[in-house]
Amino acid sequence: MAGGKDATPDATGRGAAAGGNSVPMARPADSGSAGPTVAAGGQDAAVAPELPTPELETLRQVIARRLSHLEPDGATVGLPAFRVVRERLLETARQWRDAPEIGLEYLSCLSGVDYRDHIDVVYHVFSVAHPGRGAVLKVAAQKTGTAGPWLPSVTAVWPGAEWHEREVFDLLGVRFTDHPDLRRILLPEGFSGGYPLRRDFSDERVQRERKVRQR
Amino acid sequence: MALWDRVWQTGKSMVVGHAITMREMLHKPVTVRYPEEKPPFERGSRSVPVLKVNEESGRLNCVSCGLCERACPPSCIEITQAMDEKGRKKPWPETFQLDLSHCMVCNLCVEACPFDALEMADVVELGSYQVQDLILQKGQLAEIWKTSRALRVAGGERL
Amino acid sequence: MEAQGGAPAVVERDGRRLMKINMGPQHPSTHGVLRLIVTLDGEVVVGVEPDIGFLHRNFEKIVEGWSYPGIVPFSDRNDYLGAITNEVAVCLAIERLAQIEVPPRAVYLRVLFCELQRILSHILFYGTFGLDLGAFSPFMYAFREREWGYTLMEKATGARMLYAYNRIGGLRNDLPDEWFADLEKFLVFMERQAWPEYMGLLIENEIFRERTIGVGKLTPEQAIAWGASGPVLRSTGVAWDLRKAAPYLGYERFEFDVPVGKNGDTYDSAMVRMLEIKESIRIIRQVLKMLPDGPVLARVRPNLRPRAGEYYSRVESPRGEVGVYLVSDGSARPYRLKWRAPSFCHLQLVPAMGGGGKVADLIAAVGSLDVIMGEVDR
Ligand code: SF4
Ligand code: SF4
Repeated sequence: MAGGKDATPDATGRGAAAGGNSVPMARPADSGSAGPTVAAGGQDAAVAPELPTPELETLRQVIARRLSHLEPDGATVGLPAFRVVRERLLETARQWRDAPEIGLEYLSCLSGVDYRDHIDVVYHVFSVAHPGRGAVLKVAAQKTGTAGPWLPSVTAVWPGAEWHEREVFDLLGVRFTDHPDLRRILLPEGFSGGYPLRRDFSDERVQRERKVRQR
Repeated sequence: MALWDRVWQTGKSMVVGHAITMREMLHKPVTVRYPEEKPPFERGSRSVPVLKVNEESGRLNCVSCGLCERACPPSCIEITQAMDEKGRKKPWPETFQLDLSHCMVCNLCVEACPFDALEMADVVELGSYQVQDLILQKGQLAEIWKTSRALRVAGGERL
Repeated sequence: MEAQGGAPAVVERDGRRLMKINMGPQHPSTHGVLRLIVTLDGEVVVGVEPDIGFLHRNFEKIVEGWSYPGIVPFSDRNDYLGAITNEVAVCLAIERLAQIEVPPRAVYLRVLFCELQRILSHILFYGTFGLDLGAFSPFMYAFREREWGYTLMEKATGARMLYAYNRIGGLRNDLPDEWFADLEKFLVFMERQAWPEYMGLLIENEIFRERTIGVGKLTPEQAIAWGASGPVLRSTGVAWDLRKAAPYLGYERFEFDVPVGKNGDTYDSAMVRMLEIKESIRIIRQVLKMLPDGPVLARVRPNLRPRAGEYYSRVESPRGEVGVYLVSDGSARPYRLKWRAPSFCHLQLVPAMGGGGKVADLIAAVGSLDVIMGEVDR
């Protein structure tokens, strides 16, 4: 499992001085060059993430067998996790939803995680018909390129992704192509301070004066 | 048919609804007229962290160790240590500020304090028109503690 | 967005004069600061567009700079009517990554408080939903029990709404024996008196039934596709409850049913919640019987560093599925914490539920979703 992560563009040096309101973190000595998703060298290296139920284990094997273009991802605890390239995201999502032995039709959560050089969008999908099933799909949106990070939208597969994608667009600046209505959702219209959930965001707005110092 | 059913249903709903409200009319009201009457403050309830004063010496229990400052998630406590003229540290705080406008009443500072110097008060009416007035100094905090303790001695010990 | 205050915007479409008006952000029936941009043809709703973000404070960014223990009380502020379930969701995620064993008494008490919280939240839903439909008395009845329940909560946790009661590794304090006696009285009152009164005053009332049956209909397919959960999903007939589907906190030990509706309309969704009150009482009774002795808080290092990894914890809150996606890089602060709020997903359903009906039906539809803007905007 751990080998699959080498495909992840490494997130070098990301814990340090992250974000506007945090301080440099004291970090374990061995993780200086490795992000949380990279288990190599850490104490969890080479341990396949143990799945809590046999049903999830079966699902992991089914997905790994049927969809060989997916890379297993070892950082996730408790759910089978896979990484897909952007070009095959939509196709994979369709297969996950429609293939009867996978059948993950319920998109629970769609989140974006900034890893400095790329943004991971993570899909947590479950099955209502088969309550024991669930899996994680990850896809990386590179920040390089003139268009900025972009991904195909999965609203055609899981319509509920619409607002989640708007949120990721709003807070992390990932554009979703073919999205029905890609607008800001949480931040005020006309907000121009960058993308708050990126690690290099700093709040430039005028702050109310605080007597008490901030750490 | 359907019409009669609906008439019957409507009539029944009215009778049931009125019966319930009539029965409730016979009970004592449960509302408290707040500013005039105050509901009892439950034991173990907390409002804001305040500084305890030592009974015998009349000084604060706080030794200015800074653990509460570090434990507070929104960092609303600020402490500076007292120094004497020679620059030696003294075991009490020179200043102790609490920014009530940021405090989320989570009790973490009280749990972090190893010297039993902080406590959650029982005083809730601390609002003010100015944000600046919500930044409390150590004297004010000790005052609130005294009021709160007076209330509590009348109302029983806390959890 | 034409309807920006001032006179309502009138648009011509297919020879009809449509009016765009704002409902909210300050409107009594929108449950907080929710703005609905409603397009009307007379009194018929042609289109609805929810506009959110008025309560946005970027919880997810703030906690990136906080150490783990502080996140738990802060998470109360998301769904402020289901504060305990929020805390449990965060604690489960952190405890799983930090591999902390929670003492059994704390696990049972967490179940107890989750269910008590569910009862209180559903009572408030009952009151406000009646209020949305124009029934004022049920609201007062709901507040009678709610006050009682909140006093119980206050005695146990020290606060009335934002409890800050869970700690990583267990609970803040144990409970005195008298508290359990009070709780039993409350449960008996809920069961014997309050619940039948609720049914008689509102749910079985003919006016209420006329106003809600067939209004704001959802199909199971729609609900699943749009990520609905909790009572909204169950009202469509899908028996999907995380307490059964993916048990956490040992919910598999308890015996309870999952009430489901048939039609997916607002009546069913109210009914599901009313029946859930009964199921929650049943669970609390079982907890009280099984409650073991022992400590309620495991020893946890103050400077907690969970191992590097990611975990997604899901908890059935009164409103549906609360998810916490926690990415840890092995340091004392979370690398990323994503909050999956059920109300956020439910608001996407408003156009489907409210379109085509009257304005009053739209209000019923929004009310039946039981949205909490604190967790929508985070
Ligand atoms: S109660 Fe919580 S927020 Fe308030 S000062 Fe103490 S630690 Fe800080
Ligand atoms: S933890 Fe207690 S003794 Fe230390 S500074 Fe805070 S109040 Fe004073």
